[in-house]
Amino acid sequence: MKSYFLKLCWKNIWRNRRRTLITVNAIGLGVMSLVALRNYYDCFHEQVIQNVIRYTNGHLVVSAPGYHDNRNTSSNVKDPKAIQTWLTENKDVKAWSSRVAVNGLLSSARGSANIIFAGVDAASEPNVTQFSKNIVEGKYFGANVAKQIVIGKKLSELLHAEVGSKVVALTQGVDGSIGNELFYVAGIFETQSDADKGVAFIPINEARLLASLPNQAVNQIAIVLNEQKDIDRVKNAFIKTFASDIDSKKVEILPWMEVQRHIRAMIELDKAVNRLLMIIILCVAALGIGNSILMSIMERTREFGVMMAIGTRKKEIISMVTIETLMISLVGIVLGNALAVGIITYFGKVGFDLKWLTAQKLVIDGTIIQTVSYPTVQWSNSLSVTCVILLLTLIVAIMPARHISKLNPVQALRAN
Amino acid sequence: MSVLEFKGVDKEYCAESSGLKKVSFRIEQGEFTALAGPSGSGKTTILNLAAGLDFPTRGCVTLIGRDLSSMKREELDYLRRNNLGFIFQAYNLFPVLTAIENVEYPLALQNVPAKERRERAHAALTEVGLTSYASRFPNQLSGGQQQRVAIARAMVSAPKLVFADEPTANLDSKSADKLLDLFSSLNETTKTTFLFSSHDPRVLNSAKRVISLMDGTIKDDYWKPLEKKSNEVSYLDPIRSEPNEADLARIKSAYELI
Repeated sequence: MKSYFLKLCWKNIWRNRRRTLITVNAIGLGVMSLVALRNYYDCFHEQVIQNVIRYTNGHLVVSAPGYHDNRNTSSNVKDPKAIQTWLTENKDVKAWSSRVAVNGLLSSARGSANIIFAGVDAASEPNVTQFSKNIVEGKYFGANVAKQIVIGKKLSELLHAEVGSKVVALTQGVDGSIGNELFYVAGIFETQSDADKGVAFIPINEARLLASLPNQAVNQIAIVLNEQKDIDRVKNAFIKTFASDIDSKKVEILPWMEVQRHIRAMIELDKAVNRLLMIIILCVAALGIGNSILMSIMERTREFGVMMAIGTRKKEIISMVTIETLMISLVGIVLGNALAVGIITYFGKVGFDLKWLTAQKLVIDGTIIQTVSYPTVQWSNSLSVTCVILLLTLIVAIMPARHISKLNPVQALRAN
Repeated sequence: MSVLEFKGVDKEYCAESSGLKKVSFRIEQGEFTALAGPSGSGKTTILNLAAGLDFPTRGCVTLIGRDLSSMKREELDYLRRNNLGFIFQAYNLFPVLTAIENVEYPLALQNVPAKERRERAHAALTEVGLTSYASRFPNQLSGGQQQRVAIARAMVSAPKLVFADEPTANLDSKSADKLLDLFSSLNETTKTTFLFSSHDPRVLNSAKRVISLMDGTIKDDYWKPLEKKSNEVSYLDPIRSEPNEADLARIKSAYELI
């Protein structure tokens, strides 16, 4: 019996070929858009997150409480040795790097600019952030890092400084004293972000001297983990280990999403807009399915009357119409997923660039938002979209089911 | 044995219009009965009530020994699928199914296995002379052929009772005659009870019993005389509810004989 009625359902959906094809295409395009967009957005957001991690603070940041709100050099961790030892011994931690940041004036013979001097450990910083890979002239830091400075491309143009040029840093220490030091430009980096004109990298010890900070003091320790999913685990372990320091407000540990709140907010907003877009696409798909099925059952009222007269139960007719609805949706879903996988695979190879839709480089909180994305096929998205569409189909099928349940066989037999 | 009985059945559609008034009759197993009367006389209403598709306002309809008004909807569905066959004026075949698939439908409802279903449907099509049209769709068949498929569909599950609503109305006279011959032959061979509604004189001629309706009441209910060499009436012929002159003459002769 089942195979007979499945065959009947399949034949029924093709009784008006053109209408079914229009509905299948509408569902297919909806599914394709949903799956492709979800994959694109997931990839885009992951790319932004990876940029945050690779170019700014890593997965977790240890600092003095409140440092990320005021960015004041005086908010520092005075004795981070125990923390650094713990991080070195933690198997979940891939790399970490201590930093000191101090505001000041950088001058050359031909100009000056107000910048942030980022004091970094020349050996460990490349394991945490990717600035070293953005060197366009010279090198990141030479063998003897003392008195070396790495500046951005735009800053170099502003100061008319080249590799080897002498520049002078002038800062105010946390104790109020004035610090100044002569540096040689070791390298010039270019990231296409604000960092190119507002940040210069110097060895961490030089930064401590300029900021009049104690010998071991740090403003931040940026931590990169082996796995992004371990953020909470490592954070909790840190809180447990350094509970007394945290209680006495000497130190705090924050995940990247709390440090880069703007990025987090941007991603959340983006996801919300994406959800709204998906709801609109789903509504269009639902209207398409509903319209097609309702038209189909209205045309077949007399046929349902005949079925009832022969002894078909109403719930059997409702099941038949629901199966027909699901069949149309499934054909659309298969088509949509196939198209989406094709599109994603293609753009995964050549990259999908939003440059034609945006006028400038996007930078949020010093993080570069890449316009080119390389989406990958994530079957979880196909599965979730398929489930949503099938659920929607079942909801839409309630409408014809209600119509059939109210059918009077005598009136149905009289229908034209 | 009585397969269908109407006892004092009224059917009112609204206050002003009544479908049936105090209709009573009984149909025995193997009868070949026609409901005659003009449009609106209540023929289709009787068929609908008899099949449990509709319910009387008053009175009782008993089908195969069961009072239809006391049955649940699902029980009625089962009763219909296992005991009744339907033939409609407009054939009402499923357009997406081939002739043989249409005939298989009632068997599929009864969960008959696919192989047996196909064999029985094939046999039913052979019975109506359409074996070579089995794989054709309804729109590839003539009106007469479609009605034959409908007959095969109605007969395939060996029902106790077949209802046919104006079965010849859409057919030319040649096709109608062939169809009526087929009905008669099926009635003779399978002893299936047939109840027609029709105002086609050919159908009324072929029926063994005619229940004549007018404005929702039975005007006449009579058995057709058995085939005789002359026009002479038999003493065995049933007597009409309102005897005419011929009936009175028969009564008189019978009385004299006694």
